[in-house]
Amino acid sequence: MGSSNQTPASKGVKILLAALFIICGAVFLVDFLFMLESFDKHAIYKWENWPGFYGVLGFVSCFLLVLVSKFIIAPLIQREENFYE
Amino acid sequence: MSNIIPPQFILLIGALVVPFLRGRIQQIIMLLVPLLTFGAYLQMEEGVYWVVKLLDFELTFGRADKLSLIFVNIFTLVSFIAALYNIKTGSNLEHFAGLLYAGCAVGMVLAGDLITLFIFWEMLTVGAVLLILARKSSTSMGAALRYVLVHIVGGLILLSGIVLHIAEFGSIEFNQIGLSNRSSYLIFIGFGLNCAWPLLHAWLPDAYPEATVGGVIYMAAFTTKGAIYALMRGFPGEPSLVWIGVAMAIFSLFYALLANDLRRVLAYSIINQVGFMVIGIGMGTALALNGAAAHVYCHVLYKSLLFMSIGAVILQTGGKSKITELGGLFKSMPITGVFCLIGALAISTPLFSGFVSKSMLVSAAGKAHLTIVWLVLLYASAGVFLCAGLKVPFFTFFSKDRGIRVKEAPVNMLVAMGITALLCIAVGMFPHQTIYKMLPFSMKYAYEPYTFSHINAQILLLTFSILAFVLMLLSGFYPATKKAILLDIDWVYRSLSKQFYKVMDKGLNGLNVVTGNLFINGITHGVCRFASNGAAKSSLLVMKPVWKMSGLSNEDVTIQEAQLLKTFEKGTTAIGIGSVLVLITLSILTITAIV
Repeated sequence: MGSSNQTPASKGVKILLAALFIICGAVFLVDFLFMLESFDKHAIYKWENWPGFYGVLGFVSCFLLVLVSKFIIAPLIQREENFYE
Repeated sequence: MSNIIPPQFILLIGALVVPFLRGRIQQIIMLLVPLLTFGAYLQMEEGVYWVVKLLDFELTFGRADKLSLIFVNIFTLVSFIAALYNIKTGSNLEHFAGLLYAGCAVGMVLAGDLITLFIFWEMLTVGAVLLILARKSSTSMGAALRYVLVHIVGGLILLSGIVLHIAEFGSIEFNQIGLSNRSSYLIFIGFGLNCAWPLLHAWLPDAYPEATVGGVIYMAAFTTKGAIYALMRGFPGEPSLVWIGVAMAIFSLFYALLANDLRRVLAYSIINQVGFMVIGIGMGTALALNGAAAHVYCHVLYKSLLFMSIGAVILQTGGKSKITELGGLFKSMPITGVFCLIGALAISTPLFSGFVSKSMLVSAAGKAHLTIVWLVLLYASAGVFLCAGLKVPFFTFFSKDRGIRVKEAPVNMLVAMGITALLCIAVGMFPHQTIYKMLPFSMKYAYEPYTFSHINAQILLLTFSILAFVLMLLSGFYPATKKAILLDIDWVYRSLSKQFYKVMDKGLNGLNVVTGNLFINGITHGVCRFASNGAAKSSLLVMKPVWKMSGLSNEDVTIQEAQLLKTFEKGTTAIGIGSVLVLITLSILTITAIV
């Protein structure tokens, strides 16, 4: 059972990470524009109007997906490679 | 109208011809066949073509309407891309199987009746199986066998449904069927198996990673999308499809997240995306159905691109397809890496193909006020981006550099990937000039994916998905990919069949041993022994008491016994005594028989 996840930490990666944080912050702030009357969100559900709703949804979805996969699904279905042999 | 050559037959004739050609001529014909097919498609206008009378039935080989034509368009396009990708490295078997598969897929969507549909439907399986077998490994042999068995069962269910349907309605026409009676349920399940519905899906992630690198492009495009076409034609607006699609969109993500084999990750993400389409068919509004059709088109494009880029990696690294074996390949294969990234972005990023189709489905769910479905679609959009969009390129081309230094993919493969990448971008940037023009159902208002709010919402969803991925990766929370396999529903027939074999082995062979001991070693041997020395034994039975009564000692009796046995052995018994003993033996036999 080998682990393949590595966390590279070169300078380039740090710049990319900083860029990601800035982009996330910027997109999140842009969502506040929709609180102004001149911007319409064409919302069907009222929670769509909450600033950053889609961001939170994306983050939580991914986090929950990993959480459930790692702690519930993996122990149930992960087996040695030669299981069927 | 009828002087157009049926596009499916161009592909099928091509399939028969190409294996007999060699070198450059073969390469030219391989490219020419899908191009000619596309030419025939362009000439087709809406209408009914090529009706053939067979017995009492009229078989329709060309029902051209907007619904079938959008599928013909994408199937032909992808068969050209796959041919270009395979042109140098594919074997003759792959060339034959690929064109056969494409011909059947086009034939199936153009079929105007259930019999023609079924014939092409079954032939699809032949093409797919040959593409798995062409890998020529022991695992692909097993996967091919399982593929055949599962699809034979599915085919028989469909066939029984079709036969019952024809018996009930007296018509072979293939139009809206709707779930009403037994035959419709059978047809529904038959379609569902090819569509990889939950519990009927295991053949897909089992077989696709075992196919050849070029073959899987055809497989990813035709079988499930053909089933989507059939459902769209036969069961639009069937409410149960919404929940079947929801299940597909949810469960597949756990598998995609944990899978080690890259093509298996992509296979599970196919189920996820086909789930989107099934939801669309289930919702049944014009927007939802158009969204499903558009998503077929876009999904085939970007999934082909992802499969092609991973296929190039497998080819160049000599068969490495697992995350635990790969990483840091961007240095060696930068162009393939960029195409893989484009394929990943095309899953749902604005300006790429997936965005313009998937957002139709999300909007359709919102407009129908199906809140749970709407939330599941958003969750699955973020999830599939995490599981396939980020995972596949990151762990292949970036992540840990495992020191693999290989050459960039061959030029023909790069061109095939380049064309597909361009199409992904073109469809994403100009949806109104491309796929929205081909949509099968008329809508009151044209759908506009590029509104400020929508773009911002989608970018929020995706950037925060990336943020979650990065933070979980840095903190070590993201599950480490293990050298492991994932149990799926195929465990039922893979493991239980072994147990069944064991039970049968122990049970039937045990019965065999017991029966052998009883009849062969027991009764038969007994009869043989009796036949060979029965006379001597029965003589002894009579003579021993006679000798003892006549006063012979024990030693003399033993000597007499040995002499008597010797006499029988040599066959030198005195006739008088002999006939008496025969009489006695026969009497004992008779008494035994009577008793």
